[in-house]
Amino acid sequence: MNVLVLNCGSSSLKYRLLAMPEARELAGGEAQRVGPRTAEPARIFHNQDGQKTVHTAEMPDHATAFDEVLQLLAQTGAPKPDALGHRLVHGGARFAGAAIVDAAALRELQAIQKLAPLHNPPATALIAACSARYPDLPQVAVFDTAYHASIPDYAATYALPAKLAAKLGIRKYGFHGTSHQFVVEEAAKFLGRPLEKFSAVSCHLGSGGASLCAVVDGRSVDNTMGFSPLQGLVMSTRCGDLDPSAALRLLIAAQGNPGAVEKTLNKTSGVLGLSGVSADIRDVLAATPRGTAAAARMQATSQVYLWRLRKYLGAYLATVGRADAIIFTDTIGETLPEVRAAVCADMDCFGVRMDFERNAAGLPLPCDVATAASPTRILVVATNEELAIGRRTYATLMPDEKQTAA
Amino acid sequence: MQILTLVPSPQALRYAVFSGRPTHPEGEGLIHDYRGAMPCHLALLKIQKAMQAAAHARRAAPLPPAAIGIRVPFGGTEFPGPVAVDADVVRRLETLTPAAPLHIPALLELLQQCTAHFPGVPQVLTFDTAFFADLPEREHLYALDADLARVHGLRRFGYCGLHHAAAWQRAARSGATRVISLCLEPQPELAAIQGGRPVYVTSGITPLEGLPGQTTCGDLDPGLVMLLAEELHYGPERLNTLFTRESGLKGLTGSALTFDELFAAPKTEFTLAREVICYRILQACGMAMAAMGGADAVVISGRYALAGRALAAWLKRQAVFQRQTVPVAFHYLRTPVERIVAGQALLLARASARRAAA
Repeated sequence: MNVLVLNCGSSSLKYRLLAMPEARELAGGEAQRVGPRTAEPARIFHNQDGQKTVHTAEMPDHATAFDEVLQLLAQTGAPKPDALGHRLVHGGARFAGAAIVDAAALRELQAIQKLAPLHNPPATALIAACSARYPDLPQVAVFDTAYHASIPDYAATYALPAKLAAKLGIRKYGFHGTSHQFVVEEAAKFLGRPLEKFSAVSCHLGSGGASLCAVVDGRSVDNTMGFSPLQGLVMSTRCGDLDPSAALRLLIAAQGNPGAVEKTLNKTSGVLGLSGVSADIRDVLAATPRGTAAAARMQATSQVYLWRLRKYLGAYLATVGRADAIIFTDTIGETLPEVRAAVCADMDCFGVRMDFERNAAGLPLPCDVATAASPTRILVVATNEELAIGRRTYATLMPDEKQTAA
Repeated sequence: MQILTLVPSPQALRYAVFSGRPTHPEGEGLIHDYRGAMPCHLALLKIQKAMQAAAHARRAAPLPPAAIGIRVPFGGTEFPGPVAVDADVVRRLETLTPAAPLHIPALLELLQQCTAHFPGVPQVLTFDTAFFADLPEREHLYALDADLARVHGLRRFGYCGLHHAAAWQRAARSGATRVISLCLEPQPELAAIQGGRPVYVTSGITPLEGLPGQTTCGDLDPGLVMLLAEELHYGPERLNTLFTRESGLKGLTGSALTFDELFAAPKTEFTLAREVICYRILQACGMAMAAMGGADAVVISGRYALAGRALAAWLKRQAVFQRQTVPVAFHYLRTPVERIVAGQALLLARASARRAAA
């Protein structure tokens, strides 16, 4: 079965055509600048059989971009997709696992869009367009929140009035689940441990969003993101944790306009707000600013970023109790040894001992950078959300073959 | 030598009179409806009368106290330690009004009434934030736009500093250098104290951040503040009431509960609330250990320190405490805040007396 995996960004569409269950990549790429016309033309960067090609096309929305991708696949002789696997950020309380899209599921998806106003609408619109234009093509929605459906109530409950929380669906949903689940499965395989007995803290550190996941017996038991992807770690432009009173003060300053505060906390905070120059922690860590004020600001930014990460690593190691492994993944987690070193140093009290030379050696992934004597392993594992979505899609459509797919 | 301590809260004024060493008060009382039906000047009059009656009962001359110690919840970075009140201190307090618009005017009125009823008696202010005045930058900064944070004074503090200072002293006497201090008051707070200095604290710009309390929500996804504003059409005032008066144990259980009651009676309808509290405290302990590279002692203080025994029994069973090769010591500190205030006031009054004599 050839599964075309689709991952909608706000202005991009990543795609990957995978032959399942063997997970052989047939083609892949990314449509960029999808949406209103920008200074540069919209393009599709396409990879197939080791060949990289670039194609320009008018792509005012994700549905058009999808049509262009299908045409491109046909032109380049790629096999036809037998199913579509869509990435959705938020599944709300309704979707605790991947779901086959039918008319009822599509209505549910449309109803929960506002839970993730930045992320869900483009993917939902694409699913609706695909249902209309290609009714015979099976579609599966895979949710970032689904892996976290196993978070126990005591960790998912905010200390707000219970009736109010029930009425508005307020609870911790958690995000990045597709990636956390993927690297946890890879890590268990790498260490030769059965997944159902594998406990870990998974650190998905992207250049944009970031979250930690506590894993006990292969299942998520906590995630630093909360009701929305705003809570938790310091991110590129998101503030992460904040005193609710501070949000109220900003709300008063914005004359009671929640949208303005939401924008501030999501778009101009985090690494960008602290540093004032870049939203990318890599720039901040590499910066050699002139002048003491600029240097102090860079220093403060990296310290706040790393400190929050370190504190949460401690909190989640306490949650897990005896972790088999700490897993680092995604852009920052995979490529910045100094970030891993800063948060794993002096963590012996949790049974964590890093081999700093191995950590800095740039070993091929997956790799283990703990000392031989460390009770908890420290792994660096490449994430692959598209492959994870491909696996879920296949497993959902072919439930009897789930074992081979995993 | 007598010390009068005053601990104001939004609806009550607690007072106590200590003689000599501040161990047990020789008199104490709680004035209800403070600043409501019982305005500030009447409250002070009542305390003055009570002190005179007590002296009369002892057949002693009704002498004014040697010093008045007053607990102040917020001193910002302006007051990194206790101070004796003078004109300059009053001026500096006034500059804090925008940051604590309820507390500071009430405090200034209280100071005036203390002067009116006990003229010439030194007034010593002990600040709950003082212990946290030099909280490291990485711990006190929010990940917000730096200018925005400066304009609105958004930075993190701790708010149970008097308890934490006493907790540190207790643990340090037993040789600990890395201390987890949990203050179990209606609004609890956990701090990591390394070598006497706080390196981590659960509270934020207000004590609302961090652990949930008896009626306070603690940490929320900041996005929820906006969601509630939109969905419920609540303004900031109404949201503040929701977060500070209707949430926490009250919100979770539907009952007005103290921490004593939560841990004393293992009723099944309180199970979730108890689990939430235990879990959030466990995670805060994990953060504290990451901040200090381990922990030598846990000190539980505050009004509900005894309820902390049940909590501590649970904590000790958790793998993160079990796995420590040198066991983490647990201490319980029942020192009421008045005693801490009296101790600080006495020290400062003696120091200024010495300075005046020299």
